[in-house]
Amino acid sequence: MSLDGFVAGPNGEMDWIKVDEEMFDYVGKRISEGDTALYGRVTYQMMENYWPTAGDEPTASKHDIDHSKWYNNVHKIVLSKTMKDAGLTNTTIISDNLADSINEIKQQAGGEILLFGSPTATHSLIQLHLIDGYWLFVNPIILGQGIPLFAGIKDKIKFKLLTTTRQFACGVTELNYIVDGQ
Amino acid sequence: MRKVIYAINTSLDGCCDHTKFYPSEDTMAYFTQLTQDAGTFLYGRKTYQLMVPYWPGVAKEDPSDEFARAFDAVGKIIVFSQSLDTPKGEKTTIVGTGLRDEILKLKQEQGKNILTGGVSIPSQLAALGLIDEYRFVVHPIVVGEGRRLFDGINLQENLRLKLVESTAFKSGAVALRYLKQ
Repeated sequence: MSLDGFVAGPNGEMDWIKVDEEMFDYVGKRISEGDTALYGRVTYQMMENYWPTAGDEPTASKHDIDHSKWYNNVHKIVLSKTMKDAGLTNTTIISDNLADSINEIKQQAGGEILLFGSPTATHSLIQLHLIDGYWLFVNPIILGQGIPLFAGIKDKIKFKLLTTTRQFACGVTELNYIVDGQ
Repeated sequence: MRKVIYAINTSLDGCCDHTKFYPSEDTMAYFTQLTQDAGTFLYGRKTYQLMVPYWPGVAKEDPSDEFARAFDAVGKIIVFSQSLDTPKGEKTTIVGTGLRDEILKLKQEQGKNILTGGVSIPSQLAALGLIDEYRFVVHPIVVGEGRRLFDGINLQENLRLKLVESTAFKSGAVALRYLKQ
């Protein structure tokens, strides 16, 4: 996110977001331990247009190959009122009863469920108090306007800062929190 | 040349409203240090009225309050306002127009840092490229409503900064320090 709390520009711009090999390696470690990924429809479609075959390209980097493999294996949950899951491998669509559906998945054995990007889905999940932790990467930039990470907050949410919080050479700071009361 | 430093407490959702959450002891100490290193405060009307006469009053009543003492020791307060006309006290100057020229002049003067806070004036200064250093103290809370960091900022293009350091406090707040690029 930007220093002023946006995850994308007003038209969804993400060209300002910094990532480099150091971050890929760091993020990749935690991601590889999870077996479930959660997306909103828009983010899912962006992922789906790139990652299934990104590792097969002749110019693919180590990160492309690793992440592509992870993406194809991970169980994907997509929040969408319009999509159908017929024919999708390893993918579940949640279109209603968001709280019950997510709580049911949380009860299942397994690692963390990581929600990637997906601001609209994030806003819905926040309002239902379904997010247990936030793993944020603060970019050294002020956008002035855009799509905020937090929206529609009715009650204060308190967090506990986790000690893994660190800074990267590219200027990004990791902030890692668990929800401590809401 | 003196530096202009913008320091602000903010929630994780970018709320700067001082009634929505409270600084912890460790972040207060961080602001005390910044204030001790400052020779001039630069405020808009709202922040000025929030700070004065409150903090000079605390300094008088409770000399053991280190932040209040540091605040009271800063020799000059510049307030940018078109509605205020009478300064309270001899160290306060009210300036109605010419923000940019006034800052450029102040920066040329000898002395300690110029410290600014609040939302509106720092946003104008940031858009003009006049802030040399940023200190965001991010508290571990999301509050929802309230005045936002950089609310109403008018940027021609995204403003990129250079990360210098991040400091995590015991209270769970994190101080992020950036320089103008």
